[in-house]
Amino acid sequence: MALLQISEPGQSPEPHANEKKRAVGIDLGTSNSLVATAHGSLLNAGGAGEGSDGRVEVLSDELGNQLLPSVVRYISHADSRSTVVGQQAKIAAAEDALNTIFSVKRLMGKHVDDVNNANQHAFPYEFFQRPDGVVAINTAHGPKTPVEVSAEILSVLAERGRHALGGELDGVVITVPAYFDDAQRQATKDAARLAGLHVLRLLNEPTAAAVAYGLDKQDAGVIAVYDLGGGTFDMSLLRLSKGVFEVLATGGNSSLGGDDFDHAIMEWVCTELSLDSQALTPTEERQLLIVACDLKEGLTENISHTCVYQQHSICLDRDQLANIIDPLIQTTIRSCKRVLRDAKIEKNEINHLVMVGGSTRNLRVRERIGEFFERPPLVDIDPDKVVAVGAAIQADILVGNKPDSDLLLLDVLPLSLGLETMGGLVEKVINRNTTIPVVKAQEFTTFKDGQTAMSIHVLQGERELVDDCRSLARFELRGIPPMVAGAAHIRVTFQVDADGLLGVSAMEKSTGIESSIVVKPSYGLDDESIAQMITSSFEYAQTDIAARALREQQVEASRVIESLSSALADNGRALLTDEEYQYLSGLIVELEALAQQSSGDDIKSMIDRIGKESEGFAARRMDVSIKQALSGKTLDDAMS
Amino acid sequence: MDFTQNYFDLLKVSQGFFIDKGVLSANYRDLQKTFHPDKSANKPASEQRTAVQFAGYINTAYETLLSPVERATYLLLLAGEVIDDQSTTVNDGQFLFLQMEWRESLAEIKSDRDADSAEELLEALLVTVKQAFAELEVAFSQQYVDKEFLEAKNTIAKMQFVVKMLKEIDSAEAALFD
Repeated sequence: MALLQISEPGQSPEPHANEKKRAVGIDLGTSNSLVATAHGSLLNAGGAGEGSDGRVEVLSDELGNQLLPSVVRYISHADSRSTVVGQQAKIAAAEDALNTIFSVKRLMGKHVDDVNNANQHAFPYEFFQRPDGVVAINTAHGPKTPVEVSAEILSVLAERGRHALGGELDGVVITVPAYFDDAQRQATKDAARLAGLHVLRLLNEPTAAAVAYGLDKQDAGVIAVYDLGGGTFDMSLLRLSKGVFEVLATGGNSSLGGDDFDHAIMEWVCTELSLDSQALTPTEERQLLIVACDLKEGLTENISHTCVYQQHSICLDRDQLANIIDPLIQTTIRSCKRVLRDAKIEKNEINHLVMVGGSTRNLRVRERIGEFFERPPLVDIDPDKVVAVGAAIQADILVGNKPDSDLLLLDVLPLSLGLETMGGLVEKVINRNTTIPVVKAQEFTTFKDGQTAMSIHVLQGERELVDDCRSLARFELRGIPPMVAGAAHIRVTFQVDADGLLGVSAMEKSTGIESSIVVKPSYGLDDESIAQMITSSFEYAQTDIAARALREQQVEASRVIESLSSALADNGRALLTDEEYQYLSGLIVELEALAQQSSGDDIKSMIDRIGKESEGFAARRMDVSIKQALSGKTLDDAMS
Repeated sequence: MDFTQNYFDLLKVSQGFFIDKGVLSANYRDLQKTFHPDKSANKPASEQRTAVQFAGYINTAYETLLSPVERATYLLLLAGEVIDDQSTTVNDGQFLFLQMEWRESLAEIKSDRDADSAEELLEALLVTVKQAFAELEVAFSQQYVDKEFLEAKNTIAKMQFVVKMLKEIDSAEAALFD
């Protein structure tokens, strides 16, 4: 009988050790990327003995390297094409500068104009103008968007995860800079989709770092995370209390990092050698950047360091380096001050200062930031790995391997969201540093008598003028009944989910006319483009796509079955009539049967049906949970 | 589930202007430990969508009760009194005169070339303005208890003036230290 089937151990909500799901955390960095997994997931592979909870392993390639340089090279010979990712690609960078893509993270979610306005020489590539405005780079394989390049890196890391865990991954957590805007986050998620990964969450890098440190410390207090990577800078302040990490404020610069140090040092080298930095060939520029990076890294160990470029010997010492990079460090300190003000936290209230990101190996950075916060920074976890470690811990929890975990991350929106109003001004609807998820509605009205349509322009940023903010999306609300100016009430609802991604809907209140969109950046990739990329990529033939769609639906079906079964077992008898109980149980059996054999579409419609039919049950369960969440805490208890 | 539940009931703090923020924050964290979307990250998509909405609702409730002006406005809303930003004007001459005085002081401080004395003056102004805000809070609380809603609305309008002033002091401070 149906009821026995659903209470099989395999369906129980508490997974046994041998039923752990496979989950990894991925740090998709500007210069280097890493993948890590918590031992909970590793047990599945039968390896990894220690078994102590919370232990995390950063996965290596067959040569034992944990860091994967975020470099992709597109090679095309007469008869064959290949793509190389990582160290092999990096080595060939100078000889094949135009086809070897470095620092692609800096291009994620960018518009062609952003790249043209930025100092062009930061990117020694040929850009391709797509009609939708998305940046693409001309390579030996044709134009490649940053999303496609990133997907190549993700694929290599995911393969490492599959190899270590012995099978297909159930889910991944990918980290992003806290200061990434909606377009940059969406692009990252698109890259994961292209690589065929199920994203459990986009996790902010400083938050991931705080988790990695916080689990060791286990105390309450304020943690400041200073995260300076290859191309991005984040500063976050978090309050840790009983397993809850609450981000108080975050700030930063999504295009400032070690790359900029390299460029500044390169400019200095050019001056020393009387070279015109604007007139370098891509190969010369790449060689000089490698020299600059060597000089910078050499100074971590030595007081002065010498490199050779085309028979010229160049020597840089620590004082000179300080002069070159201090203005850049000063920019980060300004951000730190703003974050402190936003969080309403004084420096002396901070319990731990955590340093994250490869660029915090730089001694000058540690010195200046330590001085500013008036305390020595914590660097006991390798600053290159700490983000991946935090991501792995969170992935293990989100995939469901630790149902009893107390850990909870409450993150914030990094940049304000608003709408364009008359005169090119931005009306803020959600302020920066608001805890997500957030749902907020704002009402607007018509400007002219008889106006029947309204165009909604969504922006992100802190400035007053539309032109100074990032344009996220435009859509039109039509069919407003003609009224005098100011009589219509248009209610626009913004929803930001736990990934920091925005959805917007709009409604005219008197008529109930609704217009809803999923916000894709004004110039983001649409679904069709992504589908096309999937088909055109080498790994996926047409049949693979159908198989992949079916597998996705089967996975979703198993989630629905598991979730509804455990809900029924939990309090189905108490909250449902016998008839309702039998009906929902029957639906589970039907879905189980469908998931064995049918097409993805059939499974999906059954899932949707179950979703609708079980809505009432879900609502009753929610009410019970609310009572339970604060049970034993009557008002009087809480006050005493 | 109930998206119309009274924020005070949802977060289990007694309905009134002065609340225990420690209790509020503790209860807020306990609710999010149950309802945050991270708790359903591996659940079906429909449950995840519901979780986003409900967690968003909890966040709104929390932020409303944390902010004195929003909490006051919400209390009046529960009492059936809607505040219309455009229509409520402050007619209290003494209060408006005070506003002008504050603004003049701020303008003077901003033009002060000596950063140290500017910082000192700014700090003094901040103390004065915060004190004025605290007095408005006490006034509102009493008016709310006495059901003098018209006066209460007026107090909220004054609070908004003062909050604006606090923001301006804050950005002047920012400009001073950057």
